[in-house]
Amino acid sequence: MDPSTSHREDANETTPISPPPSAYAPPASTDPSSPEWRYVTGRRSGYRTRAHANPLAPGHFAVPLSPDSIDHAAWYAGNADVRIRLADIGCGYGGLLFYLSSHRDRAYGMLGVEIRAAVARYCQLTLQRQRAADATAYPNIAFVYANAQRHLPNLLRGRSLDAMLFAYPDPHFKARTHRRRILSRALLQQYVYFLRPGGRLYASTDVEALFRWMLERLDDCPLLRCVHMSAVRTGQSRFNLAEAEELHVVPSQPEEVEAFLQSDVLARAVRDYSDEGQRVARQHGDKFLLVYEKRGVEEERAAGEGDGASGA
Amino acid sequence: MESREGVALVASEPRTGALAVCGPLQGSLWVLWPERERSDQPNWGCCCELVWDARVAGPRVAAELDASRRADRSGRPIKQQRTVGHTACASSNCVTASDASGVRCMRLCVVVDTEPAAAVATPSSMVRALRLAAAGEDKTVRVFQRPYPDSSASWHCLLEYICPKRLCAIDLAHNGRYVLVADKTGNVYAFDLDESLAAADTASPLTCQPEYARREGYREPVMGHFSLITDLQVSDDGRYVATADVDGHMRISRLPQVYDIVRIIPSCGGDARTVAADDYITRLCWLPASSVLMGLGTGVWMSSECAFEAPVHCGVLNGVVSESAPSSPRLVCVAVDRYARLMLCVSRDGQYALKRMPEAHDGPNTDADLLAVDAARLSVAEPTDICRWWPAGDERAFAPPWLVIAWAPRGEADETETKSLLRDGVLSWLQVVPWKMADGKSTNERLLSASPDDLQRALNQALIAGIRRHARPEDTPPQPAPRRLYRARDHAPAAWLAYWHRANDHDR
Repeated sequence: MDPSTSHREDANETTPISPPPSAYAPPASTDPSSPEWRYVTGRRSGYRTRAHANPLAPGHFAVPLSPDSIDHAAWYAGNADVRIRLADIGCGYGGLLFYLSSHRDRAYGMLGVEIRAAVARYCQLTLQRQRAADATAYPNIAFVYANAQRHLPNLLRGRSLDAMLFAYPDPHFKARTHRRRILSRALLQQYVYFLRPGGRLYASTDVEALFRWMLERLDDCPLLRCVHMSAVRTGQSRFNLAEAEELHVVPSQPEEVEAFLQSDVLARAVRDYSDEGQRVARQHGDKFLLVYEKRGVEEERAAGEGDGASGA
Repeated sequence: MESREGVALVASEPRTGALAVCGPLQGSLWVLWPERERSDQPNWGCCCELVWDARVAGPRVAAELDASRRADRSGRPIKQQRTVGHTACASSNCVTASDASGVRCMRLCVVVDTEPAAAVATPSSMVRALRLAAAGEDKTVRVFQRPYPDSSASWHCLLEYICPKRLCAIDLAHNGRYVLVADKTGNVYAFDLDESLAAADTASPLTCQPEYARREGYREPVMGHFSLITDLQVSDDGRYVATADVDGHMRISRLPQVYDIVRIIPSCGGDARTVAADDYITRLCWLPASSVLMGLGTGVWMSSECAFEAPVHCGVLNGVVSESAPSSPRLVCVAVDRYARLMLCVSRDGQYALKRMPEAHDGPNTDADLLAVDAARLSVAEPTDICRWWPAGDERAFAPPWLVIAWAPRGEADETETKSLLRDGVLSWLQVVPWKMADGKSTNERLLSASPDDLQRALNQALIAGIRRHARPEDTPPQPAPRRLYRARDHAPAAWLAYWHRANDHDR
């Protein structure tokens, strides 16, 4: 790590704990009790890290042996009756979970998984500061430093999650590094295992190539059913070429998209309220959103038997 | 990769009594048959067939691999990948050719005339063919087939496919129709061997390539882990497949709907009293005619009893390998860990017994009461593989079988000794050991009346005769020494390594 970075980081840790200066402070006219405006931001320059970590490397991670050995009271600030029902894979600086925390009750546990050590520590320290200022703040979120491709079985029980969020994952543009992408055929089977029947998988991105990649793999998985798919194009994106327009997938009318986002808080949050989502909005990038639902038990069995019958 | 003699792998098939062996002649594949007309006499006879000659097929494939893998499109050599030490565990103590084209894993099965679902209980009279699937050091999957009752038939190759990464585990499923192979990056590939069935069946998730992967010469993995897969086992009824990797995860998936994961078991069961963070499972086996999956690994063992109708109620039972494990005589399955040289025996009533394979320095061995291992040979050889063997064929598929242990000499220094012993025809690479029964009785009196020494002698004599028949000392030129591939670990100065570790330690 760059020595100057680590020095600044140390200085940052020794500063007295106080509510960090907010760049996204609510305007005075807005009702401050509205959950829409409970952003937590902080000084992130000390936590800058390499943008990519290699998920294929074994790495040095301290993960629990199994989901049974997770100490919920320690992770969730004494909130021992919490059950993990939502996972944010690649949570980054954690803005999405800080936002979602007030939208769910105390027992609805949310877990952010991040592979970059400095970023994961930023999340944990921010959470720690908030809780030091107010012991009841954010009782249902936790962040863990882990490789989601390898360590999810150590963190999550099978068929336990209501939602998995993939907000603006690393696009890995080069064909050589495509196998590091967070959605692949094998990984998707694992994610579906963690979802309960009826649980939803949310994926958003600003890169059209990655959107198509995810769409192909999600469509290929027989256990998933498409709930929503939308694309918002500004025409100013630096990733998506305008001349490829005949290849574009345009699934829904804007009114339908708006209606769906109104009905589903998570979809709106994944697309617009995550840190990357706000950055994309500032830079006038395109936004793509995919929402898939795991089929129910009966439906799943029917689909499986259908496959088996045709396979015999 | 040193060229060594001995037997590296054994596999058996209960309905035909065939025993497949890999090892002699630089990793060639052999199948041994007990001769039926003489099997009721005190003197057993066996015949030996050469399935695949590694000396012929090996160098060609190695040259192709060399051309295709070691340089990229611009012609620059590709750097050798760093591999973790786990590879040693997944491979057998292998008998390989000097160009490293040996076999690392293999499985034997029969093709029956009936439906795959009923294939478990069909008698041997309905066996149509015998299939042998092998994968190994040269990244190539090979499947061989032979019509079964025909004594004059020979083996032919059904499939030969070069995978992108080194292969670690293989199994056959659905009456020998599918081959599943796992590689060191955790991908599992599936091949359909019955082309006529495959043409009619486009919906099977094992054969059907997804839309985005339909391009020439490419095959999308059907499922996968994210690190080296140590073992892959299809259950007896062919409905489930179990895999284990070096991260410690075990996974049970449905077959052929492999996208549907029934259960993932992290960290060998995750019991902190028995499991450390870096433990993992190296051998898996399903108990015959049950839904119990056993695993044995680096000092731990575990069993997962899955009521598949209600997959949520899977129970995991963990244990530390110890001498105080309850000894149980009614054994139905066995697994050997090559790393820690431990043997796990499981009784059908759910009890377990664990034994350590005796070491040379142990002296008189007290705890190996399950196996009467020939201690005199331990200084020369080491056990490489073990399997259950039913030499008499059909009607006793679940009668207590014999154990066959494969041996390979320990080092290079013993090679001349091995060769002289082989010339005299006295070396026994295959050792046959009887099961011990609880009540001392057996439903199969004729089988038990045969002495294990007779069986062992017959097997080894047949193998040695086969080697003599196929060995061509004047034809085979001396193999060149293997090219030493550069590994940064070996040559880098300590200061550079320290820098590397510091730079990669993100936690600091």
